[in-house]
Amino acid sequence: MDLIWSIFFWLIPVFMFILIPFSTFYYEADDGLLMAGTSVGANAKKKSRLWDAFKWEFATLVIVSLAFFLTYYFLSFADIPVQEYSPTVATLFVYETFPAFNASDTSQLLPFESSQLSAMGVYDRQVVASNWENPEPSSVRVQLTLATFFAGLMAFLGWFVFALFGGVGIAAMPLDLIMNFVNRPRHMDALEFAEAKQSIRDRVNELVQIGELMKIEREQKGRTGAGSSGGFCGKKNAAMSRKEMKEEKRTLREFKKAVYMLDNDVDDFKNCTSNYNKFNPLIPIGSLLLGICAFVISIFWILHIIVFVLPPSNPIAPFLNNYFQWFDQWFPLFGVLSVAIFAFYLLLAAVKGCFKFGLRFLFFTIHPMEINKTYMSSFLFNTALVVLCSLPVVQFCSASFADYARYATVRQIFGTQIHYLAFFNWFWKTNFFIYALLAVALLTALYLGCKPRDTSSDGLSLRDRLKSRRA
Amino acid sequence: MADAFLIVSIVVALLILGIVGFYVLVKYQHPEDANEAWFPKVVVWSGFVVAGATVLLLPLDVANNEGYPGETLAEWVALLFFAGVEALGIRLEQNNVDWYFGGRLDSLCPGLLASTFPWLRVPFTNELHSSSLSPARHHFQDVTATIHEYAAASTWILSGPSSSGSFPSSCSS
Repeated sequence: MDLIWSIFFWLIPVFMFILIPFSTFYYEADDGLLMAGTSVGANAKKKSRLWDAFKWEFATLVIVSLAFFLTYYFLSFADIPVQEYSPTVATLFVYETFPAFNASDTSQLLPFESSQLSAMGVYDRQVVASNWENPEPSSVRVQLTLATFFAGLMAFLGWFVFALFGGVGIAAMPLDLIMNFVNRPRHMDALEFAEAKQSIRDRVNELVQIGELMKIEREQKGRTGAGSSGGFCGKKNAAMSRKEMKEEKRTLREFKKAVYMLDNDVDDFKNCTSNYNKFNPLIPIGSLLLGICAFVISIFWILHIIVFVLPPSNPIAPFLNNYFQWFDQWFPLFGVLSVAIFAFYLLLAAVKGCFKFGLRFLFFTIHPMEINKTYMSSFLFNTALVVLCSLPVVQFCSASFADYARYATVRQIFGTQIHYLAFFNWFWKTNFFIYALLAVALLTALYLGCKPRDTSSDGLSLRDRLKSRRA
Repeated sequence: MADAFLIVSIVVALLILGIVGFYVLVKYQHPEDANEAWFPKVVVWSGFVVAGATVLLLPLDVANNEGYPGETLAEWVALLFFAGVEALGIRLEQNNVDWYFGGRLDSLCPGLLASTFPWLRVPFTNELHSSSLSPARHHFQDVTATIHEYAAASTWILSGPSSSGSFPSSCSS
């Protein structure tokens, strides 16, 4: 099993730092805007793009491998705590039992019975006293293999992402699925129809205006700047200060978010009106059922964390561990299947959480997964997220299901070697990330409970801000 | 021998992961990307499978050891791997030898490896029924002939001389 784990521990950094960035660089797909240009497929540009991608990839690799090998050089040992005993063999062992003989033939020994044992005598005490237990806990220093250390490092990096997005996702997933049912398409009467149509028309006009304004602004800046290519991936405009760049990126993200929300609303509007007869009524019901399942899994996860993972000395109850073991006795596949469901749910929650977080707070570009609307760049982004989160999920699951997985190799890897890794052990021992995950999940549940609807920022204010900047 | 049930589960799990990944990729992709960007598609698909498999390794790990001694899956994988390498090596070597001694050096093939691959497809029919035999092939045929004779002998021993016809001549001597 060590071999198989090592293979996957190698595969994850390979995907994370070689394959995914390379394909992202190659397609220059920082955001969906540029994809339109690339899919035209100008062959003349391809060669230079390949070269560009190699250069970027090479730079990434140099930085990453430098970081990896330096940390490996300095931090790749684990101090595993042990309790020391020093037995003394020199003492003569005298067992104070009284042999029982056959009553008729005293040379014949009878088989031993526990009733023959006597209370601890002088010699027993001597033997016990000669065994010395060191009261101070000491430790054994263990050097980790490259694969195991990288697994620990990748898990550490992944935890930052997973604690945030996983936490958001655990709370947001059931809520969103249930909201899908609550806000399912309903038939509109004429007045509602007219109002909805007018509102959508207004929003479309606003966004078109904003788009035009942004285009003009960009062209102006492109003209003032000396020979810049103007795009976000192009050279930094000399005339544009860092703050302006940031501001422009933020505006663009806001704009994209507003467009995304409008797109969704238009789809909803169509489902209420022109597509009403074609709309499958089972979709909201399915969404409700999935939402209930997700709700159950989320609640179970949170309870499990509180009951099993976080108590500092001893778990209060084995909880899910018992359930898996019971299921495994019944039919082996079911236990495995339920572990898989619980683990996979965390990965899905991370993707969901990332998207939700991006939609609510404008720190980064949103990469929604939409049927028939997802560009390769969004796919790559979400794949990177899933790959990055897979190791924290494994570590988290192996700690959560420690009782269930007590004989597994993974407990030895994550529970011992990586758990006591130099420097990183503070994060694992104090359950830092798990507290963070729980806190984020609870905060998200509160926040979404108060504000269940995603709202785009007001188009009018965005437009006014752009206008004021031009003036 | 590792648990057959585990091996079946692994194959099924990988199949499901692969199919789901493929389905998601096809269902969610933008029409503009339909026949473009093959490399990222492969990366996305394989990344999904790898991430899924990493998570699923945990239950496999639990199911594999269970605290029982005996051959584990990893040993079985290693065995399979080396057996595969050995089989491929023997096959390749056999064909290379065959190719060199077969007097086909003048038929200008683009590369050694490429030229050995066509041989991979028809090893047995070719080796046994070729009319122009090279020394290496003679040797190989001797070996296969012996194996055939042993097989025939064993059937003769098991079922008796009357049912399987006459006793093979080479074994009677």
